[in-house]
Order: sequence, then C-alpha cells, then structure tokens
Amino acid sequence: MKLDPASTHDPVANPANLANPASEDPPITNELPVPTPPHSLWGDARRTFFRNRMGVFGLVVAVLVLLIAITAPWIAPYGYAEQDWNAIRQGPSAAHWMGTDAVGRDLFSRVLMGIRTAVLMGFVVSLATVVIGVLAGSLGPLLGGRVDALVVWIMDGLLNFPAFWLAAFVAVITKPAVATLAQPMYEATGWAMFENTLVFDYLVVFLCLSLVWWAPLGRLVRGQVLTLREQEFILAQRAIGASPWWITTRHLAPNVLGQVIVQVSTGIGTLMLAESALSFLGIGIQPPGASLGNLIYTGMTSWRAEPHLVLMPGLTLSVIILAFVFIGDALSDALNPRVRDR
Amino acid sequence: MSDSEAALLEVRDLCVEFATQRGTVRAIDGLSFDSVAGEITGIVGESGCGKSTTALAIMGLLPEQGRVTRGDLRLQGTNLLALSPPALRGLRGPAMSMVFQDALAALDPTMRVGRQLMEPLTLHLGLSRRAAHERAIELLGRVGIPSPQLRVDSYPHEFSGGMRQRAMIAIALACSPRLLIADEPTTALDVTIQRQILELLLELRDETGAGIVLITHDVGVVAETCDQVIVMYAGREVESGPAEAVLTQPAHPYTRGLLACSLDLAHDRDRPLDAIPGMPPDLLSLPDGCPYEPRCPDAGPACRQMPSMVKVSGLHQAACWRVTESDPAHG
Amino acid sequence: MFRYIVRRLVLMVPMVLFITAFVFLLGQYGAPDLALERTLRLNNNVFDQEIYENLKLNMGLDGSPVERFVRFVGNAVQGDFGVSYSLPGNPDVGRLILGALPISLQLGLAALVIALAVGIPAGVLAAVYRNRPLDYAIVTVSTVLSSIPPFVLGPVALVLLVSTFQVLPSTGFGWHGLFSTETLLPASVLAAGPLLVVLRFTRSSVIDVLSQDYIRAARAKGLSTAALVRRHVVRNAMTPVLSALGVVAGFLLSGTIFIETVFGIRGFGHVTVTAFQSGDVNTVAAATLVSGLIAAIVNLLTDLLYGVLDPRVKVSA
Repeated sequence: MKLDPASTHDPVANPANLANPASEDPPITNELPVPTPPHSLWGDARRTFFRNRMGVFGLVVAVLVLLIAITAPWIAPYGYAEQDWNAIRQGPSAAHWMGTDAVGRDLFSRVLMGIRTAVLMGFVVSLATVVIGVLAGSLGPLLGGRVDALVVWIMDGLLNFPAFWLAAFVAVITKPAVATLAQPMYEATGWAMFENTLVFDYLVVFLCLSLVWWAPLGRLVRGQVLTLREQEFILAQRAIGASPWWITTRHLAPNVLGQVIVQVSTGIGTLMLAESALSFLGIGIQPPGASLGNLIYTGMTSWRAEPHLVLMPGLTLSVIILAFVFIGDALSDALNPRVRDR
Repeated sequence: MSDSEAALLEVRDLCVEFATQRGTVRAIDGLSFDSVAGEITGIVGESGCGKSTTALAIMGLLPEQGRVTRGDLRLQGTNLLALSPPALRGLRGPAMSMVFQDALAALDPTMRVGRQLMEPLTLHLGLSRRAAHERAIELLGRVGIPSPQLRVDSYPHEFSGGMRQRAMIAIALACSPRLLIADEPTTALDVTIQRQILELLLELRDETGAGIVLITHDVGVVAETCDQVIVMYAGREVESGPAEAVLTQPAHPYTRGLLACSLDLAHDRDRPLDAIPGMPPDLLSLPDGCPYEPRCPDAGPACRQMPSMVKVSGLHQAACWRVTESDPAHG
Repeated sequence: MFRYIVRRLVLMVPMVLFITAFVFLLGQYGAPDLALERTLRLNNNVFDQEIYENLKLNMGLDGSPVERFVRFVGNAVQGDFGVSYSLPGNPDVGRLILGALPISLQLGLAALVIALAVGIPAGVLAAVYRNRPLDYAIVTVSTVLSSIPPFVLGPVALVLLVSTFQVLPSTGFGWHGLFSTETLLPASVLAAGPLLVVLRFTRSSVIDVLSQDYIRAARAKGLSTAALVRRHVVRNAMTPVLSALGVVAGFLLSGTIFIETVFGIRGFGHVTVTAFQSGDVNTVAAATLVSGLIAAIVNLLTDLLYGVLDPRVKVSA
C-alpha cells in the first residue's frame, strides 16, 4: 500500500542538477537501488501459479486426464462396446472396477472412453473458439465500419442467448442435415467415415459448440483490441504500413494472451460440461458411443438399484471439470495480479 | 514539546512498520510531538515521508499490513494503543476525528450527504433521526455551505470540490471532537478555495478550542495557519518548533531546501528554480546515518551517524549535526 | 426513461429474430419432410402429388423457407406457433409452451432466491474474512458444488439425501407447487451454479469496496465493521452483482432443462428437451424464440436496475 496518496505532486523530487553556484556540491549520489531480479509477467505468473495448491492439483489431474484420453483404447480392460451377457448390472468388482451396465458393458472402459470424448471435444472446440474468437474480435475493430457492426451484432446476439440452449438448438437442427449430407459425401469421397453415425455425432457436437462458444472470447479480444488500438505502438505499426493481419498476429495477440489463456482454461471445463450435457439430453454423442453424459443418462433409469451407474461417470466428470476450474482460477490469479487480494 | 499545559495529544517515539512483499518498511521511526488544544500543529514533508501514516496511526486506522511497533500515543491521557477496538471506536468522532484529502473518494457515493453527516450524530450522541437531521443542517451551515436545508439531501457527486471538503469537515466536527486531524485538506482544491478552507479551519480552531493537526506538503499552508510545525523526512522528525521560528530560521538543511523550493513572486522572478537534488529515499534501503545525507548540501563524515534532536532555541529543535556547530540563523 | 426502454426493445427484436431465423432455416433444410411422411401414411405408402400439396398447405409447409419463416413470425406475433407434429394429438405449440412456462418460472424464481439468499451473505463473509480459513472454506465448497453438473448433482443428491441418509421425504416426481417441500431439492440443485457466480461477484465486489477511501472515512467516524457493512458496503457492492444476474439468468435457463429431466418436472425445459429428442422443429423454433425473449428481457431489467442502485448512473436516453 502506498504510504501517501500518489496524487500529491511533489515538485521537490526533481533530480535536475541546477546547482547553486555559490556552494560546491558534493557528487550527487543518485544511485538507483540495487536492481531486483527481472520480474517478467510470465515468470511471476508461473511462480504464483505453482504456489496455488488447488491449481497444481488441477494441473496434475488435467495431465492425468490427457494421458488417459490418449491411451484409452490401450489401457481399457475391455472394449467400450463389448457386451458380456453373463455379467449384467454388476456392482464394482475385481473383474469390473466400476461394474457393468444393463447389457454387460464394462463401465470402467466406457468411462475411459468417455474421458477421451470429453477431452477431445473440450480441446478441439476450445481451439476452434480461440481461432474464431480472436479473428472476429480483432478484425472487427481493425476493419471498422460495416464489418465491425456486423461482428458486434452477431456477437451481441450470441451473448444474449444462453449459450448452451443455442448449442442444443443448433445440434438438434443440424443432425438431420448432416445425415442427409452423408450419402452424397460418401459418394463423393468414398471415405468410410461418412457411413459412421458416430462420426456425425462428433461432427455435430463440434459444429454447434464452436459456432456458439466463441462469443465471450470474441468480446474479450475485441475489448482489448479497442483499447490497444488507440495506443501509440499500433499507430507506429500502421505508419510503417503494416497490414491488419500483421498487426493482429504480431502485436495485438501477445498482449491479449494472458486473458485469453484464463478464459480458455475455464472454457475447456465448461465445454466438456457442455458436451456431456448435450449427450445427456440425447443430442450429442449417443450409444454405442461413450460420453460421460450419456452414461449418466442411461444410468439414471435405474438410479435406486444401481447407483454406481450414475455415480461413477458422474463423479469422474465432476473431478475433471473441477480440475479445469481450479486451473482456470489459479491462472487468473497468476496472470491478473491484484495487489489487494490474495 | 510543551509541558506547561497538559497536552491534548502526546506522541512519543512512535514507530510504525509495514509488511510488504519485499521486506518490512519502517514508515515512521521514533516520532515524538505534542499537540495542544486551541493550536494548529502542522506536519510537513514530501510524499512518502510518513505524515499520512502518522494520522492513520493516531486514529487507529492503519491498513492490515501496518503495525505500531513501538511508542506511546496518548489522547488526553488515555493510551490509545492499549484500547480495545470497541473502545477506540467510541473515541472516533467524539474525541478525535479526521478529514481526508480526497473528499470525493471519502464520501459514500450512494448515500446522501446528510445521512452521512447524521451517522456520527446518531451513533455517538444518540440523537433521534429528526434531531440529527436538524443538527446536520446546522453543521452544513456552520462550515459555510449555502442553502444547507436543500444540500443536506444531495449526493456527494452533486457538490463542488470545495463544498465537499467543507462537508467532510462538518462530518469531522459533528461530535465536537477535542482533536481534529486534517490530512492534506486543501491539496485537491483550487487556490482560491484552498484559502477559504484554511480560513474555515482557523475559525473553527478559535471557536471550538479543539487541537488541530494539519498535514500538508505545502509550506505555504503551514505558514498561513500553523502555530507549531513538525518537519518529517523518511519517517523521521527532522525539525520542529513554533512555526515562525522554523520557517524564518530553518535549522535543518531539508527544511531550508523545502522553503527554498516554494516560490515567492516578489523575489524569485529572475532566479532559476531551486530544487532539492536527488530522489526521495527508498524506505526499504535506508542508510544507517542521517537519511537526508545523500541529498544534503552540508553533509559531512559525521552524517554517517544518525543525528539526535538538538535544541536550537526555546522549543525549536532539529536533528542535524550542523546545528551545534554553527549559528542556526542561516539563510 | 420510457424512450430508453422502447429503444432497447427495438434493438432486442432483430437480435432475437436473427437467432430464430437461423434456427428455423437450418431446420427447414434438415428436418424430415413431414408432409411427405404423412402423405405416405395416409395413402398406403403411395405418393400422391395432390394429397401432398394439400397437406403442405394445411401444415404450413408450402412456399420457400423464407416465406415460411415470415409466416412463422407473423403467426408468432399473434401467438400462433403452429402445431407440434411429434407429440401425440398434435397439441398447439403455443398452448404447450404457455402451460409449461409458469412451472419453470417458479422453479427458476425459487432457485434465484436461494442463490441470492445464500450467495450474497456468504460472499460478504468471505470478503470480510478474506484469506482466512472461513474464506477458503466458503469459496472451495461453493466451487466444488457448482462445478458438479446439475445432471450429476441432482441424481447424486437424490440418492444420498433420499435413499442413504433419508433426510428428505421420498420425492414423488413431478411438480407440486412452488412452496412444497418437493421443490426444495430441485431448486437447490438448480441454484448451485448461480450461487457460485453470485458469491464470487459479491466477494470480489465487497473486497473492492472495502478498500475504498470512504470506508476508511466511515471507520474514522467510529462505525463498527458490522454497521459499516450494513450501511455502506452492501449498497455499493451490489452494482457488479447485478451484472452477474445476466449470467445467472443464463445458468437458470440452461439448468431448468436438466433439473426438469432429472426430477420429472414438466416445465419449459422438459418440453424443449422432448422437442429436441424428437426433432420437433416447430416446438424447437418456438422455444428458441421464447428463450431468447426471456434472456433479452432479463438483460433489459438488469440495466434498469443499475439506475436504481447507483444514483450516479443516469440511464441515458
């Protein structure tokens, strides 16, 4: 805390060497204090982040989750669609760590695959939102005029709607559309993937979430750009003829990066949640595909008798989301130093 | 230090420290002075010298990171540092009060000025709402706010700067405190308004007989109003005494520097601006000796040792080795 | 003031329409041709052009998509949202939504009250005792609770509170009215997300306010912390919390979908979900429109409330 309000103007702290000619001045010891180690934003941020226990916990879980997502098909004891009719509706046991579902599928394996789905969707869609958001947010103000007005209008519209509902609407609507496109696409390319309904599911979820979720990021970027745009160094760039694209990528983006990172890290958690929510409602990934969301939904039909069918995927999902929320919080603390708090 | 009448406020060897990220800062080091009823005591110095902190320490309003680590604070004999928080709270308003520098920031923007004025009245004096309302209007009128019966229902942002400051003074006076601390009350105001506020303070001193501690960095303000002056530098008292003595015959080089910096149109038209060379000290790395030594034109080898307060004449004293050596009457 | 409201409404409408148009038009391209299906059904799977054209006319499926959208909007303004072709009996969509909406509104209101009644005091406490154990406890507990998705929290709470610990009576599914005990659990689960938002905003806002000069000046008058909080802090801290209400409304709207599904309450969310699952385009479009309107109205109300709370803000024309 400052010892005196900084608003008092101090005319005396002027190191001008207007010596009084009458006396002989000793050498001005105007030494600066010993320089402290450089406090870059990233160095400070890293240190603050690692001091935050919950953030570190979140990071550990996140890394674990990532590893699981990548190695899921190999570490799963059973195939996620493999049915064993001798072992239906079993509770957790040595053979089936999380028990089995109504058609004998190993819950643990399905949960692993569900994690994979969540991570895939979370990260990929995050990437998409960053791309769209940064582009929309920076090109709008830079290109100005009609383009900007249009971008703002779309962004406002998206922001005013509850994002999840919009995504759900889009999902519902596009599913049949994608289905009708499937046949011609298959004929055009011969790729087997177009015959797989699971792929449609993923595609639809990806599309609807990306189209809707970029708005908060876009607004953030836009706000920053509007401020930064007025600053001198941007003016200098334009004076040397830099194009809007150059300015965006080389100068604006690094300055916005901090806040973007925070938003993205919490966004990953929210997106995973959104994906499982969509699957829960039946408009995302559907069985036999494994999503933590649809696992919970199917489990709900027998929640009294077999609570593990709901609890296992539910708790897994909660832990993963929590991890990313903690990371997001810790990053926010680390990158936005507020001297008064924490 | 006056010892003839019982002093209103006695500050003895006050030390206040702040815990910061880079270490402990001693914002006030060994400050001692008395404030007497019916007199205005000025504390003057540059930004960061600890004057505002002194005010906060007296009122018991230091922020979380600050602590009084040593010393004595007595108000009319009561040891302020030994009081429990509720007891201290009880004193704020009726016994001692404070006027803050930025009146706009110090008033709740969402509450009418009248209500803010009524708060100490109902809290400490137990007045009914109606009685408090009447008294509030009276007080506003007393500090020179026109149409107080209308103004009492206004919001702070609807006042001009000078009026806001007057309103703050009114709030501070509400319970007729014996001690009034004014922290840079004129800094944020225009020069003409400054004069009005200072005159108001002088009037109030005469009328109520309260003791006023006036904190400022403006030597001119001190010259106009103060009976007694304390000059602070880097958290230490470097000179103090009756205002006239200190201002006309400054003994400490810093005081001299401060005075030289203030402009006087009559004399200084053709001279180059005087300034004190160097920068204010970093409180985290103070030298062992006199803190002013790096910037002092009269510094010598003796200054590596911390000088103690030496009497110049009467109540006038300064903390400088040079004072014993030469004639303190020095331009 | 009145002009301001009108201006905002006028700006709102194109936005809502845009989104609805987007959804509607997409739907036209993807949805199964219901007229065709019906023709085949009525005619023993033989396609008859005349029946087809007639049916299209009756079902309002003739004309280009744009024409259909215009007609849709025209009808919507009069309250006619068409008929649901997925539900048995083809009920009128308008009436369907209108019947379901009050239930969801009540549920949302209950959740809002819970979120505010718990979130604000908790936020204030956390801010006053910040960085001390109470603060950490409050923030951590609320973060954890609200990070659990409602469709997980609901069943888990159900299992734990009803089966295992028998704290609550066995809730029959369905809606029993705003003030019945059965509403407590769904409303609380719905309130989890909003509660955290309210708590965080309140906490950071109060921390901000506490560092302001006028708080210190009020202390200089001799006010105790409790009086300080009551008189000065709360009013000044509430403004940012208002902006949280917009976010909260979003949470509530999304949340009702899940809560109603989990607890078997037939509200607006439930209707929408069923429409999703059966590809009922008319209902989906109507639901989009309605939810957009609700969100926009909430935003407008929030803006107006700003002017009430902070006398410095003049709701500018």
